[in-house]
Amino acid sequence: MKIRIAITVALFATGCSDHLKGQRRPEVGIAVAPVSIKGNGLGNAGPVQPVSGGVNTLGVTVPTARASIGRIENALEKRAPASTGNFARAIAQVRTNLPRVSNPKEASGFDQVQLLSYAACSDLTRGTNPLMQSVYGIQPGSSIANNEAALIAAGRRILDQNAAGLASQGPAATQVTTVLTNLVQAQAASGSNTSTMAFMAVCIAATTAGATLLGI
Amino acid sequence: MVRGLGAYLLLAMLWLSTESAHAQIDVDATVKALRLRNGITGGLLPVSDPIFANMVTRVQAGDLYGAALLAANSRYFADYLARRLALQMQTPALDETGMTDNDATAFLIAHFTGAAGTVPRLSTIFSENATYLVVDSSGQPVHAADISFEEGLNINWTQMVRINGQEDATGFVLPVKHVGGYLTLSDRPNDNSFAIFGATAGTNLRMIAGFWEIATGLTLMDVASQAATVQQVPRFVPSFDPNFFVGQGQPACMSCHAGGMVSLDHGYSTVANTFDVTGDGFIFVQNSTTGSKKSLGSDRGARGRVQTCNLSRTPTPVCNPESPDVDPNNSWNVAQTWQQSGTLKAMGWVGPTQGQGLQALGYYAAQSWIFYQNLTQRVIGELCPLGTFSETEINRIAGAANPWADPAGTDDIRTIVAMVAASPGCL
Repeated sequence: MKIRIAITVALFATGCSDHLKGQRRPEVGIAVAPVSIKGNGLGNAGPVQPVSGGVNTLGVTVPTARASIGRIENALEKRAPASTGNFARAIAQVRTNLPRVSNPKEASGFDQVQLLSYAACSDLTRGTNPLMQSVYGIQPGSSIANNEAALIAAGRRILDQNAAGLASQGPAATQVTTVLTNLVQAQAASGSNTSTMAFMAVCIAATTAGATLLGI
Repeated sequence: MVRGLGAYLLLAMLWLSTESAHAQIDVDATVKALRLRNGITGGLLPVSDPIFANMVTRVQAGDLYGAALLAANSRYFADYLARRLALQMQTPALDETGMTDNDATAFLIAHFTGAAGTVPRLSTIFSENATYLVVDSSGQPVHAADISFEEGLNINWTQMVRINGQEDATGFVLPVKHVGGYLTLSDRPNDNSFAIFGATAGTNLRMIAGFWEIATGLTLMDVASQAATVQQVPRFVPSFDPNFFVGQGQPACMSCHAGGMVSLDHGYSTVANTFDVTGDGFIFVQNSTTGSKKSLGSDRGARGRVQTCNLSRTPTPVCNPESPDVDPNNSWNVAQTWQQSGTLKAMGWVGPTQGQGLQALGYYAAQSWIFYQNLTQRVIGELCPLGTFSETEINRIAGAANPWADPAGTDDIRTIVAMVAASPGCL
């Protein structure tokens, strides 16, 4: 450490005496702020290729691996952390398959987002007092029909986390509710389905939809 | 499950079909804020965070740039886009796939967002003599490579500890002349850092070429020139090769080795015999010998023959007898060939054209306009790959970040990020 301090001090001193074209070269870099070079306008810049991605596409991007994981966490209000449980195990399995680039023309691996959603949602169904009950008010022991309102509300709530409230308050709110209602009733139509299964269907649909929004 | 998938597709389609403003929510402002949030933070910024509400307010006020800057200034930008850009910069492929956090990526994130009380500073990413440690979940500063993938998901990348100086993998403190900012940071074997990429085996040509490619966005052939001399070619390149002076179905060897990124004059001397990778990891070569000199080729056993380079011997040594070999003082002179070929002008090079050592080369390379133009292009590629940006717009954004420009830019990549994201060609 003493050697390092001595070197640093010595180099500061050297740097202060080193002038090239009027610009002091900082030996420790960040300790010395850069200084505008007089007359260094855009006329000194070389050519650069313009970017043209097409018409009417603008800011559309694909969520990459890290973005997909973060959006799923947000969709479930960080109650299914990516560092634990089935979610973490699924990430370890599929993360290299997730989209690597944000360009929609080049990205692949969207299907893996649904797998991650599945895993994260399943983490909300575990235990004697699962989060699907304590957070979303769905009673695992009750019928899907009895839980219908709570299931639909859960879907809206999950979607809202990546849509800033537009799922419940935006112009398509009614249609969102209709879609979720149809989904829940379709689940209820099969007598062997449980409320946990219906929650999984709603959770996966809403989480995946929210996590994979392209721009918006 | 199939019904679930159908439902999510339908939800997504409904989502994209928003048409009119809703009474209870400012749909247009919310949608714009969401797009900024999704691009700049990858969607990591929770919409329940007060930052998002402020973004919506800024958008409502017509301040798209301000809204974008709020996202860029958040810790979520550091965790997502800044980290992504840093991981990409460990190889010239600029691909983060399979990359892992290390000292070099931590250094870059610190320079992108500011950390440990320092301001963001693009201009010294190839020259600052420092090391940055991240703070783990127990509050202890650790090397970024010590962080597990799971722990990395929760790290606050704007919280770092800065340590003066850089050490190689054996703990030897790098002489400042040879510091290359993030280029010379690696504390262990196989840490996916640029240093390991550049200095493993071979001749270290990969290291200097990688530096130029990442700094400028140019390719080897973009800056190759045959208007060079045989004396500018490294000694291990065989001058008797039929493609040496004039390429036959390929570019001439000289066009890159004498007139391009891997010329003796264009920085190869700063890395060739200075760095290596051993079982310990990235090391500084304290006492260079003939056997250790990568400038004499990748075959350690043949380096003596390359140094002697007696072409009358059998078998004929693979070498260039006209080459003076790399300068022992690590000098560089980018005006050689590149002044005449127009490459310096294309780079917008404004600093000194000669110097010694990697730190000076990295420092002055980051004064060139192309460095800021290239970063702008990369950010566009991340945020608006399908957007539309004119040359004028790209230069305007690059100029706003270029601290060497007149008027001075911010030296902060978040300026680029916010301007790109808020541009009419993107949003």
